[in-house]
Amino acid sequence: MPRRPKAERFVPLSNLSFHLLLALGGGPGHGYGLGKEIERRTDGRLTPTTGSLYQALKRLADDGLIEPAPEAAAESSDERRQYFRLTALGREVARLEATRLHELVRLAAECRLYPSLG
Amino acid sequence: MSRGQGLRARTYAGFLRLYPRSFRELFEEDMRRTFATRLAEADATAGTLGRTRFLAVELFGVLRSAVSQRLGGRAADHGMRLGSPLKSVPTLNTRRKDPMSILAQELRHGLRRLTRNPGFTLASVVTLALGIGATTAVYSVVHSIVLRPLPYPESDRLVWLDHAGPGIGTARGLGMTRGLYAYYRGRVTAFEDMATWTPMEVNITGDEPERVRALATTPELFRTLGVRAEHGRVFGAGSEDVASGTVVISHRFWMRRYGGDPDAVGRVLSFTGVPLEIIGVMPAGFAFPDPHVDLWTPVTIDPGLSSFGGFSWQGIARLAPGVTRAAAEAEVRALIPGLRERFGVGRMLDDSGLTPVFPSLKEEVVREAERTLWILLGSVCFVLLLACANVANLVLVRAEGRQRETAVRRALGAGRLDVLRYHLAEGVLIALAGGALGVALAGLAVRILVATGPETLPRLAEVSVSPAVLGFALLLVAGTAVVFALVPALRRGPSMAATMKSGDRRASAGRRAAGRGALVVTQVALALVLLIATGLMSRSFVHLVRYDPGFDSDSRLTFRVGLSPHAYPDDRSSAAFHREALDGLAAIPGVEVAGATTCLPLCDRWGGTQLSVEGRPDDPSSVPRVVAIRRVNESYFEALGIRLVTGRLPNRFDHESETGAAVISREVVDAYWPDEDPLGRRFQPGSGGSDWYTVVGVVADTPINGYAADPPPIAYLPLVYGSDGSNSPYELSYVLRTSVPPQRVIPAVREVIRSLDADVPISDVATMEEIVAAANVQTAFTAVMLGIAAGIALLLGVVGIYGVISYAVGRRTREIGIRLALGARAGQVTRRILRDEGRVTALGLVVGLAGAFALTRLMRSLLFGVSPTDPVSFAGAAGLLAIVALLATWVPARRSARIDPARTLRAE
Repeated sequence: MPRRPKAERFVPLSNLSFHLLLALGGGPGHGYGLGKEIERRTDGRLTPTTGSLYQALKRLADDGLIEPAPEAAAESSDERRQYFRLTALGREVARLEATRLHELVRLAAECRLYPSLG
Repeated sequence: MSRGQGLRARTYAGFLRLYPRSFRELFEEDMRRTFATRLAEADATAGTLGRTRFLAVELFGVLRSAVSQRLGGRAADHGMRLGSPLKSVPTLNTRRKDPMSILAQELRHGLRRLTRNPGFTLASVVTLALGIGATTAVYSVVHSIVLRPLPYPESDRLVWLDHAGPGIGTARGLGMTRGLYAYYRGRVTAFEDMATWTPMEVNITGDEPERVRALATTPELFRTLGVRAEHGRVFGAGSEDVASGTVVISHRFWMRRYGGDPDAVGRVLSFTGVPLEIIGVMPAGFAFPDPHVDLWTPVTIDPGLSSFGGFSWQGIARLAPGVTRAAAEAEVRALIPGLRERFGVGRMLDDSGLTPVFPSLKEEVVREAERTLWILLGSVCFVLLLACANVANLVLVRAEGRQRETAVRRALGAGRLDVLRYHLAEGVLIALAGGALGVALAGLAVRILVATGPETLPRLAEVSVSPAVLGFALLLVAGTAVVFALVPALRRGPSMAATMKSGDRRASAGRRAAGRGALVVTQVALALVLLIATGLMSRSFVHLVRYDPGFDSDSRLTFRVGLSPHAYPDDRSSAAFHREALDGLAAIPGVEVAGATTCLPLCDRWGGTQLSVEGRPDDPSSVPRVVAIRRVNESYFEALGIRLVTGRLPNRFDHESETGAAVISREVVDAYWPDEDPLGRRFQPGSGGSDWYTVVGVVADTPINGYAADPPPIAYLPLVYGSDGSNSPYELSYVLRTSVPPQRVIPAVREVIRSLDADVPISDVATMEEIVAAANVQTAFTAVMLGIAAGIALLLGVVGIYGVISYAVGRRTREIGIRLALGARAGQVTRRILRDEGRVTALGLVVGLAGAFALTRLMRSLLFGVSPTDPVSFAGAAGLLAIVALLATWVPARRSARIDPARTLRAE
């Protein structure tokens, strides 16, 4: 199947890209909101600058992992904001990345570098 | 949004324009709003430091990602504060690359590479430092003196008040009078403020009596300039300060006499016996009108003044806002006729055609120096070019040796851009190091210059390395970095296959050697040209210092007096005036001899013609030399100390009886009587039809246009002579030999002239020493500066040649090893290398000699007593360079010949 190899090509993701995909997992979002969400989730450890944030979004869009979501813009109070949502490919990639990380953590537990996940 | 926020938001929006259009179409609006929201948050929650950091991080973030977007497109983002786990990905994996962090990495690697080649690095950095340092130092001077405005607020509105008297042959330099001040003040709407002053020398009595230069000035001087005192105050607008006797002192005077004691304000100074209270001390940099003036004391000029006064004053004015100098001159010109009625100076006005001339103050101050300084800057840029050429050559030679490494990199996927980055990193590092060192050197050089520079160089004390100069240096650094990066990156190396197979050395050996040879030739030629120029300048300078101008310049006062033909309609009357003036001047106590001439030495005017010698038939094939004609009185030679060579000087009898006794300079003898005795011979100026003169004496040559020219032939004819009455001049320069310092007799001189005719002004008052110094100092200064520049160029040339040749020889280590292994003796190998590289050096010398031959004629105007093709300089320079090149070849050749050949071959 042609789609599968495509998704694997994107793994491993960069930290910011992965967080963006995760943030979009809960529904469409726009740049500012996504940045705020990431900041909140990581307790302020990850605070991307606007430049890097939008650059990451552009790349994800170019790669086909996210796509513009005009219906979300129409519904929200602010029509002019650029909203995005995950594509099926994006979901797939996010899942693959999570799996990869899980494997790594499991390996770390086996090597006694990290408490077992149980 | 507050104003500060608006500004920051606009800045951010500006930065956003760096993104490619496709990106902007999607995100520009969003990003602006996101930024605005975040900005508001930051302002609400963070302190000043936090807000600044936020802005900086945001802007820099945009910059980085914009560059990434433009360069990489698919590049990953690395804008987080946390480190990315991908940092450990090897450089050659180009899939997820942030060009910015790669550059940082390249810089680190580049630094490592450079430290592993200390010889190359040191040579490059020092070379570049010298070039950038010299250029920056000279630019500091040019910037501070010529480009930067004077250190007064809105100094472009300050003008120098001067007048011209075209009717009496004075184009400018008359200055001001008290009457003019009283008249202009309040009348000229173009002036927002004006002040006038007269210079004087005064005795300060007390514990240590000394003689200082002072200004008696109207109180508005400091206000017009817009300056304040550092301690105390300057004069007030009214007349209280004048009435109560006050003085403002200079910083220099304050340090010298009061040791910098702030309580000096309020003390009393004895000023030629008059007690004056010190009310203020000026700041350290203040020097108006020149650094020699130590005291300023106020005088008032009654606005109702009825006497015009003499032109012994000077003045400045501040133009009203929006008024041009031309408009001011026009307004004043229209007021001039009113002087007639006010002061009754109708005759003076008619005779002189008095006209206002208001140059800008900066123009007046900087006048002479400007041209010289620009020439200096041009020459020093040449040095910088040589420095850059040196380093570029070094870089090239080094790049040659690394072709294998480069080929491997390219095979592994590095693109053109990566190779460029590779060299750019090194170029940037070298440029930065060289630039930093160069600026430090420049700072030192500037400090030395300010301490030892010629005093007649205006605004010397203001010369400093300012931010503008540092910006200039930064520009140089950036430019050179780019050049050093491009030069090797643009070379097309051989294919990787060829390089891998045969190693670095054999690939295109012939072409490679030719390329290296061309480098050495260039270095040698460039260095030789500059060396020759140095030699020429040094010899000129030596000649200049030893030059005998043919007259004495100490204790001589000179000034110019112009009569108008209206007032003195015939020669008898003007001659009578001059004779009486001379008698009166000679009678002044302190004046030993008074003389007069139509033109002093170094007066820059020729006024000459050819001579017709009696008894010599006209020879149409030969063009006799033009001789400068001067009309002098009989005591002129004694007054100026012009040396007599043969014959005698004319005496009063000659001049009064009008025998036509003439004195000629030695050049005239060489030109007209090369093989005969000129004494007693007769000649006519021009081609005939005028009076005959008889040569009674020959004097030493004196210069006209400065010391740089060959001595001109000068004929000295009597002041009054001639049946057709057209010989008596209206303007004469007087020269007085004094037994006291020449400035002291100036007031008496003015009095003598005034008593003869109150309407006749004197101008261009200067001592002969000042005239000689002014003619000389620019030449001397230029010579010294050029000498320094050329000296640096010599150093650069030497270092460059040594570097290139020794590196080139080092490249032949393998060949040397083979020869040694095959049984050659060390001496043989060394000689062979010397011969090979020597051939190239010799070619360089030849090219350099030819180039110098062609180019040094451009220097002719700067040389003195030396021809542009002076064989001594040429031979000396070539010899020196040949020796250096020989050493540069021999040392590394011997070193590599001593290495164990087995080791050399093994270390492939």
